[in-house]
Amino acid sequence: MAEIAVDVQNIVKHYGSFVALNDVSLSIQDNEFFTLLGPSGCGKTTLLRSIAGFEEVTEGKIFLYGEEIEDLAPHQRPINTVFQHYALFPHMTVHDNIAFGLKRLGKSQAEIDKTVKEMLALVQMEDFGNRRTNNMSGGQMQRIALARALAPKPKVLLLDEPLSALDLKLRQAMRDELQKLQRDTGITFIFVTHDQDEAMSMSDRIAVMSNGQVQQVGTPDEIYNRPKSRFVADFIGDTNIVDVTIEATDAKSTLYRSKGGVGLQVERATDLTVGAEISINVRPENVVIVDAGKGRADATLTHKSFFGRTSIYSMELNDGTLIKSRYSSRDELGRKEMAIGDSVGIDFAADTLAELTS
Amino acid sequence: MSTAFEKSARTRWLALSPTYLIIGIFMMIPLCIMIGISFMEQNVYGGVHPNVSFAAYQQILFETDFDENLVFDPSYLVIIGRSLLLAGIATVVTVLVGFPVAYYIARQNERRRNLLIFLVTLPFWTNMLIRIFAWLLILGRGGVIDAPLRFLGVLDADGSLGLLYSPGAVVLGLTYTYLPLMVLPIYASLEKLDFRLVEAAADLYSNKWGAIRHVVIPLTGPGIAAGAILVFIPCMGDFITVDMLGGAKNLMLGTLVQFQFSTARNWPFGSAVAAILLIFVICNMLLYARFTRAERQRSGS
Ligand SMILES: Nc1ncnc2c1ncn2[C@@H]1O[C@H](COP(=O)(O)OP(=O)(O)OP(=O)(O)O)[C@@H](O)[C@H]1O
Ligand SMILES: [Mg+2]
Repeated sequence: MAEIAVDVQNIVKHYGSFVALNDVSLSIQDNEFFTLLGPSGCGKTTLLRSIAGFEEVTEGKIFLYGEEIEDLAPHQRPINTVFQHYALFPHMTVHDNIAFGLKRLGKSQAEIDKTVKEMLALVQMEDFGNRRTNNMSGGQMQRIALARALAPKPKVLLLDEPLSALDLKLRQAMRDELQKLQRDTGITFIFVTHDQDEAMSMSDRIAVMSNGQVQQVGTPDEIYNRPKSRFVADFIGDTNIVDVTIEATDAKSTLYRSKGGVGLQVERATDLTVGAEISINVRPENVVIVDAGKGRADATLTHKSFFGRTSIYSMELNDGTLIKSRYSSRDELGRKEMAIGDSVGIDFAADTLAELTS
Repeated sequence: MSTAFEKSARTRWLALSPTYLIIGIFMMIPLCIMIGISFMEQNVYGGVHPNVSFAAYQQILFETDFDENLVFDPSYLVIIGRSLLLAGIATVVTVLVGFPVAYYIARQNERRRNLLIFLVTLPFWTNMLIRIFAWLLILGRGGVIDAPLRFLGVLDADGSLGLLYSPGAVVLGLTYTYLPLMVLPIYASLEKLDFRLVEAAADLYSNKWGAIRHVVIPLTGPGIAAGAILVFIPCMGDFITVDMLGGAKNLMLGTLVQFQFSTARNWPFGSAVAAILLIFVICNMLLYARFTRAERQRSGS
């Protein structure tokens, strides 16, 4: 079992009567790229600032490699932050910005110069040491902010939406760079974003948050394919969610019945009992269109949208429930043309279904 | 044909002409008169004799003895030195007091900030003589400070700490009078400061003082310099505070000028001292201009 870098235990944060964090617990492992993902206002920044020490938590404990830190001031925590708007010091050169933390730590001048050089090389800005930070491009400032935060070799690096101010192309390039940087330095990264693609493509694990609570923690694969709640399923990507009741279940299969009376027999067991009211989730790319009568349920094709790389087919089950199916253009090759109004069947592999219990 | 640029330059001139007129009539002409008078001969009954003379400037450094010889006399130099020293100390003290005040105000929410700024400027709405008179009552013989000490037996029944009419009292009075002029420009530059930079400094292992020293003070330098100018210059020329709290022993340039025009009736000498004062002011402004230019070059905009 890997060592735990940051252990957040039952954190509660109030702003007056407003509850920004409601009993949040997380264990972030050493050398992990961990992402906090959630919609605007869900408390990601508040959690990050609590770890950095800028916010005092109302209740709960925070441990850094086993040491309790919630009473330490920010400058006493071996944690550095890459701020969303960089917060580079405008009165200093790039070199002095990167050297700032090292100087405060009382490192020798030789060591400072050596580290700054290494950092500039790490972010590919070797020639910029003597420049001032104003008039630099967003991407350059981003790199300097990264170099500045990495220079003191913190135990944990916090990044609050560091890519949101960059344009799309640069953002994608920086994703790869950040990932590489994390691997090269071996520092634990806690990354905040509300962009699910960013979270999915970079992270080892993701915590999905909403309304000041952690909804689910897991690998990108688990979060995407095994969502536990309606919120997580809906927030990450496109999906089909159907409200159902469990009608029958045995060791091998389960029968779900929708509110409108459509039954779905799926060859897998459930922990839930007969009569439980839940939702089930199947991603559109896992929904296969087959001939009428041959699938798990029959449906009518109501709409087709072509997006170039993929096409989305919208269908209605007999009770009016909307189901979407996504086909990549390659899979479409050689498939027979379908017209709006056609009767079709829908099918999906049993293990692509996820039960959403809340 | 005139280009748009020329036209706009001309309209700008027109629009600014009242300003130039007012500056000309109320500032430049009196200034010229003052300098003119400083090169004339004294009329002991007030006014001047319109003859060219350098006696006034001579008087600053030399005294005429009984045999009509010029003898070096440092007493006016002492006054100039004292003015520089006390105004300098008062400026330093206002920075030391004004900066924390401005910092505290800048960290409050907007409503509180406006209220506090109003409170800082409040003394300006009260008559200056009355405010200085209050200090007389506090510092004076048997005043607010002496009285309880007498009662406690620390001082004799008619003893006094002798706080009034001392250089310390002058510095105190000047600090008290001009403190708002220091707080306001520092506050203005703190208000523009991005306090996320302070967080960044804290994140990078600076304690509170380190963040202030390495981030806040360098970035509010122009505000501190502006405040220092705004305080130092009027301190040099002040005569009410200096006169009331310093008494006859602690003459400064302002009180000297006032004395020459009222009691001594030596207009040329008063004007000459005022001209010296003006030179100090101009030197200060030049220094400030150089400082801000360097500052702007440094921040690269
Ligand atoms: N200082 C504060 N005082 C009062 N409420 C605050 C304060 N800071 C944050 N909040 C509230 O706490 C909630 C969570 O804020 P937070 O900044 O953590 O959200 P976030 O998830 O980072 O959102 P975003 O993606 O928009 O940055 C928000 O509703 C916000 O209004
Ligand atoms: Mg945020």
